[in-house]
This record gives sequence, structure tokens and C-alpha cells, in this order.
Amino acid sequence: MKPQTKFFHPLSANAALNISSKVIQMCSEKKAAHMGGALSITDFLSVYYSFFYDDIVTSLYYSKGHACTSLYAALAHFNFFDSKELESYSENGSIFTSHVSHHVPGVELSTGSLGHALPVASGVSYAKKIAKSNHVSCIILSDGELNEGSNWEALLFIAHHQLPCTIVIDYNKLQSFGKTNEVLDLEPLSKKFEAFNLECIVVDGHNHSEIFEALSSPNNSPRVIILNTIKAHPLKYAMNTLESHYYPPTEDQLIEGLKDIQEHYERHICK
Amino acid sequence: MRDTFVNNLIELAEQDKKIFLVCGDLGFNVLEGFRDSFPDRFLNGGISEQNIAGLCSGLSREGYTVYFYSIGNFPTLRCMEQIRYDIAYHNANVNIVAVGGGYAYGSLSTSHHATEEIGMLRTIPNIMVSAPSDPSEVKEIMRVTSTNPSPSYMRLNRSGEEIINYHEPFIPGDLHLAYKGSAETKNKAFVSNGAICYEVYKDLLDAKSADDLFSLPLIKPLEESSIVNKLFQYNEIIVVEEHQLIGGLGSAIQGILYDHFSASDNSYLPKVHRIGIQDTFQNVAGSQDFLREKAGLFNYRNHI
Repeated sequence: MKPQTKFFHPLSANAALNISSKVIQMCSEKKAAHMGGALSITDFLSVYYSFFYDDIVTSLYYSKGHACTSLYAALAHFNFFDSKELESYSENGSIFTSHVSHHVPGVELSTGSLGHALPVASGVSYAKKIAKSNHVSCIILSDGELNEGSNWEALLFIAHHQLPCTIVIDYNKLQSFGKTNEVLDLEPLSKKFEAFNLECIVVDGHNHSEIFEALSSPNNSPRVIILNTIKAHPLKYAMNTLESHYYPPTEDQLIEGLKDIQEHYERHICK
Repeated sequence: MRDTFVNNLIELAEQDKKIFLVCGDLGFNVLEGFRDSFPDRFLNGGISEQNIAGLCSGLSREGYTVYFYSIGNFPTLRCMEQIRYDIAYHNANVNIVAVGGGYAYGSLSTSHHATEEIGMLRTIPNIMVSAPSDPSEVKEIMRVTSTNPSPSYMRLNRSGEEIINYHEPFIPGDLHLAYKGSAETKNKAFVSNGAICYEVYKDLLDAKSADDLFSLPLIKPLEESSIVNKLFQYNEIIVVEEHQLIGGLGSAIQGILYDHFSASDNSYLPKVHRIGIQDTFQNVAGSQDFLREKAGLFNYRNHI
């Protein structure tokens, strides 16, 4: 797969519409949790796979494995497998487990226990660097996940060796049992990364052109992209709620949610 | 053992350009030879074992045969979940090597006593677990693990360990006859691994014992049928290990023998006496031998 190099909003907006819709359908049908965190990262995944993913020189490590529905739906949308296969999601015997599985085509690493993907990707990036490869690893972390010390060990290592990787934080400011600033405050977050000697860019995580710009910046050294996001975006009934981490949509909420998603993205697609 | 490990690794790395050594900021006066010979295949990852275990998995994804070297609990218990998930579940080619097995770093305190790691690692799928009994078995184990793409763990003692004159070639996962007793009929056999095996060996030699001693350096996976065939010839088995009794060599032997007994029509089962650490910590300073004595590990001598 080769990336498009020019930003074309309808392309990523169409992806986001499909992926978000699939996420809430999967959560509704299978009564699955973790819808909120899956929706907050959908826009990033849509832009990344639309314009930047290249199986030769990039790889994606998805550390927030609980938010698996958006990654599975993204991989289906970008033809890693037939989206019909997602019908088995979370069923007995399915490879589509409810935390990300590397048995799924397109998935690099199984994740689900937090704080694992950044260390693994740092090893990959180190090997790529000494091989003088132009490969760039992209690692997506949740905000709550930054509570895990292993991430900070890896950040020290990545900064020290100036490894070519893009570290993306889905900063929706809600973790499992409360707000991030009430459970274990991350602020000042961008200053923490800067203090580690890491370049840090803060963008609106639902604005595709801002995401595109951030990913387009030079990437021969490590960079952190903090995505200011909203949990369960763009579902009006569920946005910015802790409940969206747990409850799947009811039948009515699914209908309403699909409408919200349609309304939110079609203005960009029809442009 | 650690010198055998590093010298052997240098030899292997000369042949195999994919061998990569990672340490967690230790190895002073041990790892310099490797570092200076292969600077681009050596990495000091700093004091960060969780990150190192993960990054070793990452390095292996890029084709390296990775060795992760540190002391006892640090590359094992400290990062057990990374071993399970990043290394074992993804079947990464990462070989963990710990120096200071058992009470080898006796006086350095409980933080440095590696007395539970074998039991914990044995329960994890895909990973080979070993505790070689002497430097020659370190080489044998490395011959197996360096060519096997699955993960492994190897427990070393320290340095200066002596060689055992084995009576038969090493077979991975099988009993390795270390001392052949004078008895015409097989009555008692000792089974051990790790550095304490050498202590048993020395005592049996000194006593000109009639009983046999087997080393079992590769504790997982095991050649179960061969072990069963050999050990069912004896009336009594004495298992000696520098590890908690729970989950260690003795429980592995006991499990195999009892499983075989339960599945067969055989009404005979050899007695198994297990000598190991009895669910305790050592909270005083002491040499390796002092702590072994205190933990009752030398009680195997009552069977000689």
C-alpha cells in the first residue's frame, strides 16, 4: 500500500465515517465495551491510513489495545481483510479478540495490557536506525496509559537514541474510573515530553487537516503528537462521558449515533 | 559460568551476525569483550528492565537473536509480564540470561536472591527454561537456544564454577548422568541442576557413593518419557535445587513421575524426596553456602 501525499479531506472523512459507524455497530451488536476510546482515535486512524501508511516504511503499534474496534474497523476499511470478517468479532473462536490481536492481518503487536507497545516499538526503531532504514514507527497510546512507568522508561530510551518514531497520545482526558486530572494528573503534559528532549506537537485530534499537518512535519527524530480528543466523539448522547468506556449503545442510541456520525462527516465528504 | 557465557556468546556472534546483546546497565568486567568486539550489536538499555524486555522483542522482530543479560530477578520477575506478553506470546527470539542464580549473591540480600524465577517462568508457554549445572552445560544450553528461534531463560551462578565429568552426551530436556555410583542394582538417584548440582557431585565423589546423580539443566521442555524410563528404575529419587520447592525442579520431576504412574497400570512409584527452599526468605547476610545451609539445602547429605 502506498500513501497519498496530498491532503484530500473527503478521503479521510469517508474513512472516519465508515470506521466510526462500524465501531458503534460492533459495540452495539456484541454488547462490547470501550466504545468511547475507540471513537476518540478514529479520526487519527483515518488520516494515518489514508495518507501516511506505507507497509514498507511505516508500521503502527496500537498500544491502547482495549480500543480494538476502531483499529479492526480501520484495517477492514483499508482492505487488510474483508469487513464481513468482523461479524465474528468477540465470538467464540474468532481471531478478533476484544483487545487487539496480532493474529489479525495488519496488526503488528497484540496489546491489551497497557504500557507495552512503546518499549517494543523502541526496539524495532533502534534496529531500523542502526540499519540506516528510513522506517518510521507510529505508536498510539491512550492518556490513562501514561500512568504506566514502562512508557517513561521507553521515552527516555527513545529520546536518548533519537529514534525515528511518532508517539501519538489520544488525550481524551477520561480514563477507566475518572478524569485523568483527578486520577493521576498528567499536566503539564507537553512540557513533560519536552523535558525529555522530545519535540511535541499539540493538535485537535478531530481536525483532519491539523492531524495531516502534524504527521507531515519532518520525522527523522522522535516526535510526540498530543491529540486533544473527545471520548465517544461525535455521538451527542455519549461524548465526554465515563459511561462510554463501558456501555454499548442501545438500539435507539445506535440509530441516533449513526445519524450523528453521518451529520458530522458528510459536510467534509460532500465538499 | 558468566565468563563461559560471554566467551561462548562472542564465539557464536563471530559466526552469526544476528546475535545481539542487551544489558540493563551491568556487566562490569564481564561484557566489555563482547561490547568492544561487536559495538553495533551491543546495547546498554539503562536500568529499565520493563523497557528492555519489550525492546528485545522489538529487536527480534527485525531478525536479531537477542540476549538479555542481567542479575537474577531483574530480567525475570521485574519484567515478568513483558516476558509473558511481548516475548513469549509473540514467540520472540529473545534469550534471557540471569547471573546470580539461587543464593549466588548471598550477602547482597533478598533483592539479589533469585529463588523463584524458574517456577514463574516454567508456567509461561513457548519459553525454554534452564539452569545449567556447570560451564560445560552452559555451552550445551546455548547451542540449543542460539539456534532455536523461541524464547529462552538461562540461570547462571557466578564465576569460577568447576567442570563436571559427565558420563554421557547432553540431550536437551533429558537427564544428564553426572556421577555413576558403584551400586550394581539401582537404588537411589539424585537429580539436580544449577550450581548446587556441583555440590552434590563433589559430595558423592568424596563419599565414593553407590548412588547416581543426574543433572537436568533444561527444565522445560522435558523429554518426559526418557526421564520416566530412567527414574522408574530407582527406588528413591532425591531432587536438590537452589529454588523454592513450589514450582521448581522437584515439583517438575514429581509431576512427571506421578502423571506416568496415574496413567499406567503400574502399581509402582519411586519415592521422591525434594530438597529446596521451604517457602521462606533469607533475611540475614551470608555467603552462598551459609544461606544454603540455613535454608536446609545441604540436607541432601542425609541421603548419602
